[in-house]
Amino acid sequence: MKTANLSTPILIAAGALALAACATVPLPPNDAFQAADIAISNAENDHAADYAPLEMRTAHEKISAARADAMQTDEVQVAQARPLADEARVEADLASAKAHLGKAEAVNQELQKNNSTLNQEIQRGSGG
Amino acid sequence: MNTIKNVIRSGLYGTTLGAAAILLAACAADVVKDPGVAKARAELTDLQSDPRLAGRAPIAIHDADTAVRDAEVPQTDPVVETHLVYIAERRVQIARALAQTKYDEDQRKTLSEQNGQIQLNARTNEANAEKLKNDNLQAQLAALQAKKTDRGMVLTLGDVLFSTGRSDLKPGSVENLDRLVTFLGQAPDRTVRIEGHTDNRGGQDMNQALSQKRADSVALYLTGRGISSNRVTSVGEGYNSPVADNNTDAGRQANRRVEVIIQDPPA
Repeated sequence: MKTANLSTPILIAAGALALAACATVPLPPNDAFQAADIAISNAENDHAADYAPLEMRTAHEKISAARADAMQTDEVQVAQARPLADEARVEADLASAKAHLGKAEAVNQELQKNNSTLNQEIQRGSGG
Repeated sequence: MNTIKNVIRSGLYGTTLGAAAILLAACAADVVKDPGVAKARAELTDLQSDPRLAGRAPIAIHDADTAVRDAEVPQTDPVVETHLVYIAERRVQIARALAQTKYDEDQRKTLSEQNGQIQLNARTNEANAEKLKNDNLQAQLAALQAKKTDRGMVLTLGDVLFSTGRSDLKPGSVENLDRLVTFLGQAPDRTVRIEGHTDNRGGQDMNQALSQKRADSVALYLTGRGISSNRVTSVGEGYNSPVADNNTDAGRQANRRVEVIIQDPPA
């Protein structure tokens, strides 16, 4: 009976301390992860790997690293998760932009080539 | 009592100011200067001053400007600085890529119009060339003095081409044949049927053979000058198709002829 009365406040105090400790570990930056995932998914739909393979690989590596960091206990590492996720996102955005540019240039080159070929044929035709 | 409080208060105030000044000075010494910041700013300025690109990705350029300004804020933590520079560099590259893409898309309209114009010119040229060629051929046909019949254009080569009873062409009588060669050369889809005819003097066998040989002579002349033999047919009609009265000299001369039928082009 006597020991029970002594341990209860100790237990409560320990519990409070534990809760306080949990409160200092930040939540994973899920918004940043989601934004990165969306950017990578969009880039893949654009076949960005064909035009910007390095950027795509970097994006994948960084989001994986970000997720891994978020699960660590070391505060410094956890703090890296958000910036890494942001970097993954911007890398994927860049890959998408390069993919769009690559396709646009290909279309224009084809048109230019057609025009040149046509011009050549006309020259030949009028000479013949 | 009050003056003592004031002295203490102002003393504390001065100390605080002094401490703050020392802290600031310390911060200035520890600020990280990443060369990437200046580079990112320079690249953004290039983009913003390119008349082809500056207006073509306003949102992306604005985002890039924000990112560069964030990187330009002095930082003490090199990790943070590196991160901000990383983001800024890429936002500038993204803006440039988007602007260039828009430029290309705008150019496409011009290129398409050019393409359309070139094709139109090409077709006009072709049509003109075709017309010229046809006019030329028509003129040549007219010069041949071939008669239009339901079998095609018929060029009649008279008796003068051959010596009496012979089938070899007389030299110097082939002007019209040369015109025919030229014409056939320019109208490769035309074929000719060469028919030899005689008057009714002499037997059927003799006249059949003579008319065939004369037709063959004309055929040989054409193929000898490059007309493909599968375009040329030669037959002897003997005296079976007279065009004039065999009872007169003039009539018989008229009947002694070779007809070259320039067949109509295939439909």
